[in-house]
Amino acid sequence: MSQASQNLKFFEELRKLRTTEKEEMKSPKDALKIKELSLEETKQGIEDIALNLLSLLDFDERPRMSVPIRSAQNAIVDQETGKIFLGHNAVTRTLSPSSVRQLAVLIRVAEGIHELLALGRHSTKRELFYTDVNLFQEQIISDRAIEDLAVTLRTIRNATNIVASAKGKIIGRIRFVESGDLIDCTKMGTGGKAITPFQEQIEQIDSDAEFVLLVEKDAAFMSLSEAKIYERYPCILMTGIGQPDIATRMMLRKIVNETGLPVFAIMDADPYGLEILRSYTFGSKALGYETPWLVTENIYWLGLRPEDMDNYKIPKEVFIPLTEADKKKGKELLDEIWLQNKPKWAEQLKLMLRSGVKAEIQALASKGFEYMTEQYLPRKLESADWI
Amino acid sequence: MASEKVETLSAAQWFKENSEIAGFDNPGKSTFTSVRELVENSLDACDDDIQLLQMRGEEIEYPNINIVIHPVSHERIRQKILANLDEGGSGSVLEGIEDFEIEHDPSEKYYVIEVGDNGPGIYHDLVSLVFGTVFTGTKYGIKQGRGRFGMGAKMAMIHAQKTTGLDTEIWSATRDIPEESYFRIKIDLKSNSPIYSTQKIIPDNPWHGLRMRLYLGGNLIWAKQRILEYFKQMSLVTPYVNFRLVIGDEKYLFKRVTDEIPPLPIETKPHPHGIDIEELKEMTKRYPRKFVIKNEKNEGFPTLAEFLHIDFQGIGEGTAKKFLRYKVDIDPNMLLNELNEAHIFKLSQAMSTYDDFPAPDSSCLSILPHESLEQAANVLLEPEYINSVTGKIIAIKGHPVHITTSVAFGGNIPTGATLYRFANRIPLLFKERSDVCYKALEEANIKRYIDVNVHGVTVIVSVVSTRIPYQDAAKDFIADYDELRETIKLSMQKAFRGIKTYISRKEAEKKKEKELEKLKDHADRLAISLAKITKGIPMSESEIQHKLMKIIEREYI
Repeated sequence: MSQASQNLKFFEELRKLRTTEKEEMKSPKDALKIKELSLEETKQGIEDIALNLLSLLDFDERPRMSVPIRSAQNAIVDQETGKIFLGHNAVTRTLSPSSVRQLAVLIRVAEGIHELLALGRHSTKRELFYTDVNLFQEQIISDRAIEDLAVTLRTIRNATNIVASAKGKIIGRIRFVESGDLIDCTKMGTGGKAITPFQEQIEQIDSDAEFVLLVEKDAAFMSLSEAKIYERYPCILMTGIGQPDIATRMMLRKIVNETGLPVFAIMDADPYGLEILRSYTFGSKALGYETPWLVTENIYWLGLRPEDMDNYKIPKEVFIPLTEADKKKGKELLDEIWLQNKPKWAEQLKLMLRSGVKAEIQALASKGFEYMTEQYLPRKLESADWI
Repeated sequence: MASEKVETLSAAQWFKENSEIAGFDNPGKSTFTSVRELVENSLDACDDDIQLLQMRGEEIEYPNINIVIHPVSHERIRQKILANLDEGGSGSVLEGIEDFEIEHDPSEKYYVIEVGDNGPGIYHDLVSLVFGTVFTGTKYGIKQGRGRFGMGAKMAMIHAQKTTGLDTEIWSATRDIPEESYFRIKIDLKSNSPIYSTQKIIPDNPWHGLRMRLYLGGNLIWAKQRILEYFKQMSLVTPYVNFRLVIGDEKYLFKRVTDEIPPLPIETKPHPHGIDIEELKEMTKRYPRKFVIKNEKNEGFPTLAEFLHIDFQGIGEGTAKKFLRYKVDIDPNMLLNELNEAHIFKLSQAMSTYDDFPAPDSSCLSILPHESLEQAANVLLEPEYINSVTGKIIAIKGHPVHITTSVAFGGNIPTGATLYRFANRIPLLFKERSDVCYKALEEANIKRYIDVNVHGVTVIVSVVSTRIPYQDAAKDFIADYDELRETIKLSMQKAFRGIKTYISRKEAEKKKEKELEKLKDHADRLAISLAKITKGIPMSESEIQHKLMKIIEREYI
């Protein structure tokens, strides 16, 4: 069989994986209903919060407000899909010694965002932190308050015009318009295009790729982009560099929504690699309320899977024993509901825990620097070795 | 002393053999001991005076004790000796001191030590009895007292005599006779009698009290810190006294801080557990005495039952009879003069082991009220807080022992834990680590209550008894009896707990204050933000702030 006809057959396989659905993701009934609000709606929402507090004050009552809890204890999992959402549990912030600080911080953040929205500007979390370092003390405090405010307004963080500095990168067979500029990701050298935090400014996505190659780490991204993998296979190469930020997850979701392409993920063969895979596929507990905007369903685990260590004859010397923390994390993941939707993933996790070892993507270099691009990946793709 | 019966007892030679345990073993310690003996002598006299005045219903005088320690040159001393000889009189300077070559220790310097009080003074005729002989004191009955050997100042006089050969000078005046007696006196150690080089009466000199001046060899470099510490601690437990101290050019005043005189010790009869066989024999020798016995036909001798009832505390005639019949197995009606050695031995044994006598009476003790001690501690130690605890009263060998523990905390007290020990309201400054109080402090585990790396604590333990259970004759520290150590430990722990409660209460208050401060700060911040978001409609920033403060005041202040 010629190379071309082989490729053709391979592309046919791939096309079967494409999705055509573009409808809004359904959230479970007991999940908090989140809407994407317009600038004006968000601004009005903040004013309503302030007026509610003042009306209580007008009756000489303690100002108080209810803020949904955003921790794991309030995460609910859609039993059908395994996706993670936020429940209805909330705490009251009021004028008391134990909660006044959080109330003041929340309203201070609301003030900053209100001002930002009035100007029609965006700002980073870091900038917002510097508007009142005295009060916030640590950036994590104002960051959390931003999320709290968003979820109190029943909207996503992007609606607050606060953006996190995004760290994700993209390169390969995709073009889009970003803030009016046409971006062609085939002409991005080897470093790739930085994914913008201003995701609402991305439009007119156009791609002739057959799949998206999503890698966990920057190192793998660089070796694949250097090898111009997207010229050998028509693909889009992306990375969130570790735990992905909102912009990267949004971008991925947007691309898949627009093109229907399947996503092949290359992660480390350790519990954290699987957890990152979960963030892309099912959402994260901390940002459960944004799941409908962040989660991409059409993701397949290509590598590096625990079973590859045998199948691809990876030398034993590059295996690293699982630490106690790894084992603990692995066992926790086994108990999570979303994994039931991915029985093959669960099998891999069990194999990993049984063998007691893990390996990083870089381990493939033990078989030569070009092993990943020249042998591992082609063999994986062409033998449809994804799960 | 003007009022007390005095009695000649024994020889002065004792001093020579026992100078070490008496605290005269080196020049520094001798200087310290001389001062304290004179001061305690004065304090005892003043206390007796107060007691007498109180009994008479007269107004009391608060004791003023003046102490002068003045270095003098060797030359001055030599001149003084020559002058003494010139004054001649009895020519007594050399007489009686043949036994004592004047010793010249190279570390020794010469000092004049003078201690004066406003006590009762001593009648002219009694001075020789009081100061001339070594063992003098009240003999019958037991009483809490400061004196360590019942001879206080006389030891210092002999020490002075030994180191300079110079007479002690004494000025004395009593309230009822408006004249002053002046003596120059030394002790003939062989005959145990006073030798006067001068004695005269100065008429129309209406003060009262006693002033003694010694010329002695000593070492102030060692003694000075101890003397200052002694007065500091002394004024803590004797806060109704003014001590004026002059050392060379330096003046110190330890000022009276309270008007309250603690109840002074009362003489009581001995408890049967506290008497040994020799003392028992001595007691039987006080008879015949006609006036105390109901039935005079026995020629002044009581029956055994009567003897126990009359001469010991807490024994009724019924108890006495029961005890004699069933415990000692002697006829209670046997007369005292019929007792033989074997009887006395049997009686003494039984007395010390019989458990059914009532506990020793502690009402005779002089206990400084907590308030007085705390008043004094506030002045001297400047703590932030003091907590005082009275321990359980226990009996050791027939003597009641009363414990008071005060713990002064924080303020100007340097970090760490310091222990002050008092026995019958005399500070104990030496051999701390051997003392029962130190051991109790170790066992009390102060760290469980107070972090002494951060806080300063002074632990003041006052042990009061008709007989302090010292370890040995030097009386520098109290012996380690289990029951005593346990009692002291428990009183310390109780006091520490009080301090701990105080600290946590203070911290809670501080925390609450801080919280409130934060609450207000955040409320202010909230007002600004709310006003900005709503552009001052419907309420201005100051209106919002005002309303928030109103709520805080209502809910949290």
